Order: sequence, then structure tokens, then C-alpha cells
Amino acid sequence: MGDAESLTDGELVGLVLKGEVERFGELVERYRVEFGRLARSLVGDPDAADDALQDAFISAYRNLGRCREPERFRVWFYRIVANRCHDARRRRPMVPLEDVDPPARDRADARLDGSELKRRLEVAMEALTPEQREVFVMKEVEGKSYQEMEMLLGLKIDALRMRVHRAREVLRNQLGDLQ
Amino acid sequence: MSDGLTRAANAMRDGLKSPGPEFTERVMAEVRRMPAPRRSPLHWVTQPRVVRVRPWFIPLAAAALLAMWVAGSRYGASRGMGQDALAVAARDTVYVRFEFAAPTARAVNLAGDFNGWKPDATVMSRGTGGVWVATIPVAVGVHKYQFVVDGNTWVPDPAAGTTDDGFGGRNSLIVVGPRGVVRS
Amino acid sequence: MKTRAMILALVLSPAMLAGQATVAAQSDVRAMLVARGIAPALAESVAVVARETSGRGLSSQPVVDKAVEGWFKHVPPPRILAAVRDLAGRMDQVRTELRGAGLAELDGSVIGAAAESRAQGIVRGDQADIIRAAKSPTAASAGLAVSAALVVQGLDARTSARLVVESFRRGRTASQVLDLPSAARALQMRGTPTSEVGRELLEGMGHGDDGGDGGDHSGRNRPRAPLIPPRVDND
Repeated sequence: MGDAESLTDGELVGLVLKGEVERFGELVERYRVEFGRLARSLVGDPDAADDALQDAFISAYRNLGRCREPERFRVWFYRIVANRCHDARRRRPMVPLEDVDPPARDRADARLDGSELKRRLEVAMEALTPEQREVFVMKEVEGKSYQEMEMLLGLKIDALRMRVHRAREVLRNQLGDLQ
Repeated sequence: MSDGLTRAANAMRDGLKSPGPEFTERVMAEVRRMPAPRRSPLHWVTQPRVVRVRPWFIPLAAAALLAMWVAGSRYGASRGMGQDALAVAARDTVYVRFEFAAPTARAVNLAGDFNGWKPDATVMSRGTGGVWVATIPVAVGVHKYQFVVDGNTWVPDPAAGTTDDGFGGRNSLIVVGPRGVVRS
Repeated sequence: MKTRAMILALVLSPAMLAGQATVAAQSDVRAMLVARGIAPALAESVAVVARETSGRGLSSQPVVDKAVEGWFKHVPPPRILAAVRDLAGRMDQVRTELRGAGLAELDGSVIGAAAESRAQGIVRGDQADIIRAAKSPTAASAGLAVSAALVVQGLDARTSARLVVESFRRGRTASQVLDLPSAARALQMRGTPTSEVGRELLEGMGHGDDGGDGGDHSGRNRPRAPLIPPRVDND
């Protein structure tokens, strides 16, 4: 593994383009976890998220020759993943009605445990725009710094702050009685 | 950040798993079946650079856009702009004529806040030239509506202004006064 | 996790007991939604939002109507819920804003119309002016809705609001204000640039006896003084 770890993204991309296609697997391994989590938080359904991520990697492979700055593969690839995730979220089939949030008063045990909180947040995230969803997930779920977000999204920190603030407002409004 | 939201975000983070190592193998299995990517031979052409817009480019672009708009408005354009009401149906209610040009449609219905958005409440009649028509009593005021083509395609009125419907779609707006109507 | 859940349950139960009184109202909303064709699970959730909305002193009718609209448009239930919650939140927000402008005890239909016109960019100060210039809640609702409709037609928010305010101040009724969009559209169809439509309508406005349709008052020979003074708003 020593060999792969010493190669930068740009070097790996260069090698793939020269014909060493197996090197692409090293890029996939390098980003499987980070983008896997991102995809699952943006799409919701884990299977659909994994499919979207797989499509994104395949698309990145096919278009690797068009990656203008191979050293910034992660930023370029992030955009591909995010777009695929937004598409996948839009294409989801109708959620079965039984999964729709039942009122708190009917649930005497009122188990607001982790899975229930998570589910309510997932429903609440429907109210966000795709852009708001991205920054919220990055900042509040993944705990990325604003510097990192600035690099990945190409937006100034002030603009990012405003977007995160707005996303929180919308979610707070949606989550209502959780406060 | 408020406590409820923080807890929910933490719960989401804790519950997040990523795909396992078999994911990488799935991707590579597909990759091996594909032609190897090559650096685009013209890649230097796609390097970011400043594009200066020459003066003659602007009128051409504008003309192209105008041609597209005119062609588009001929299809699906609704006539009846400023159509006056046929009669006053009752105090504060006015008959309004809705028109929608859709020559290839098999059925067109009208759904809006004046009929509870039920797509089967107001069936439109096909007239000459493939223009579908319906005349219904509508209360004085501002209303939102859409046309429903072939039972499942919801479209706003091309002749009217639109407003966000809150679900990612656009509703058409109609302002009904006691003397007549115009679509916003 | 369990302790936290238990504490939450203790905190929630008095609130749930207090809610018993409004259970009847909530089940009415639920029954009405089901009667209009909504699936019971969704009707239940929307009824909760409706209850919360009326519990805050707002009209729940817009919430109910929006849910019905989404249902017939085949919008996924989570999206419907998100949209009705968003609507309720916007109504609450606009009511707070208007209260800050000195307008309390506003009719539910006025708040609904204010939320709509806010979404089209009509600012708090102009909304307050419309409400004050109108002689009744019905007129205020109509005025706010017309200001939003004028924006949809392409007029800017400030001009749209001033047109409605001036109409009311010059004695026009709600019915006559509802004619403003057709007057604006008539000018637009005659070729008047949209940016000039507001000015022409304002200049052509008499004192209640010319039907308010802008008529033949082209206003082209009048001095081009800015008709709408710039306004500094704290929005």
C-alpha cells in the first residue's frame, strides 16, 4: 500500500490516462468512505446512494481526460457526485405512506431515539434546496471546516455561512416541536 | 445551533455508514469493461480562458433567442387575453373562459384553487384548431390553476405569468374582477 | 439515549395533556382531508400542522388547501408536509413582521395574502401601507394579492405596491383594485414597456370616476419626474 499512498491524486490520474487503468481503483478506495457517507446523507436511501456513487465514479473514469486540473480531482469529482445525488433524490419513488411522520401524541412511548431523530431530519431535509442540503450535510453532519467547504464548493466563506444559516432556519422551522 | 437540530444532525452522522470494500471491486469490474480514457487531444482548447464578446455577437444571439421564443409561443399559446366574462353568474362570481392550445392532446382538464385542484372536476372541450376550452364560474379574486394534459401532465398556462407552487412547480395566476378577467 | 428519551417524555406529557382540548378540532381537519381524498396517514400529519398553526392564532385554511393541492398533483407526502410546514412558518414570520410595523390582530386571510405577496418581494413597509390604506380586511387581502399578481406580470415590487396603495387612497374599492392587472396588461399589450406601466397607471389615476383602466392618459407629455420616491426599508 506504500506505493499508492505516496502518489497524489494528480499522479494517479496521469497514470490512468497513460494506460494503467488499475490505478483508478486506488482513487476509488481513497474516496469510497468520504463520498459514500456524503452520498448517503444527500440521497437518504443507502442503496440508491451507493448506485449514485458508483455512477459518479464510472462517469469520472469515462471523462477523466476532461479533468482539467488532475491535482484537484477531489473538487472535480465532488461536483459529479453531488449532481448524481441530487438527481437520484429527485427520482426516488413515492415514500410509502406508512413512513410519513405520525403525530407525537399517538406514540405514548415517544421514543425520540437516534433513529427517530435521524428520520425526522431526513424528512425535514426535503424542504431544503440541493445547495442548502450540500452545505448542511458538510458542515453539521460531516463537520467539515469552512476552509474545506470553500475549496470543494468554490464559494466564499461568507456565502457559505449564509447558506448554512438559512438551511438551519428552514430545518428548525420544519422540526418544530423538537426544539 | 438549537439543541434538537444538533441532536438530529449527530444522530444522522452516527447512523451513516459508507459502502464497504466490495464497492470498489464493483466499480473496477465495470471499469475494466470500458475503453481506457485518454487525455482529450484538444484539452488545451478547453482550458479556462477569458472569452471576449464581440459587438456583432450580441445581436445574433438576441435574434436567435427571439426566433426560439416566437416559435415556442405558437405552440401551446393560449388566446383569449383580455377575454371579457360572458356574464356575471352571481354576485361576486364571474364566468371565465379558459383556453389552451394543445392539438396533440387526447384530453385536457383544468385544475385550480377554484375547484379544489381536482383534475377531473373541469373537463375542457376540444374546439377548432386543437384549442381546448372551458367556461366556468369563478369567484372574484386572485386564483391559481394549471392545465392537466392526458390525465397526468400538469402544465401552467403559457399565456399567463406563473408563481412557485411550493412543490417545485409553477402555478398560473388569474385575477378575476367583477367586470372581467385577465391572466396575470 | 434512554434517559434522554425519558426526560423528553416527561417534558412532552403536560403539553400533550393540554393538547386534548384541541384533539376534536384536529380530527375534524383530518376527517375533512380524508373526505377530500387524502390518504389517512398524510391527513393525520397535515392535521397536526393545521392544529399547530391555528394554535398560534393563524388561519389553518391555507395549510389545508396547500396539502390538497399537493395531493392531487401527486407530490410525495414528505414533500407535501415540508411545503405545508414551510407555509405555516412563512405566515408566522410575516405576522411577526407586520406586528413589528404596528399591525396586530390581523385577519387570517390578510396574513395568508401577506405571506404570498412577501414571497413575490413586497416588503413589510409596503404591505403595511396596503393594509392601512384598505378599508377592510377583504380589501386588504385583495390589495395584497393584486400587488403579488402585478409582480408576476413583470412590474417591480415597489411599483406594484404603490399602485395598490394609491388606488385605495384615492377611494378605489377592492373590486376596482382587482382591475389593476388588466389595466397593466392592456398597457403592456399596447407596447408600453413594463417599467413604464406603473408610472402611466399612477399618472392616469383620477379620483374614483374614470374606471381605473388607465384609459388614454399616455402621460408622455408630462414632465418625467420620478413618481415613486426611493424608500429606505428596514427589512
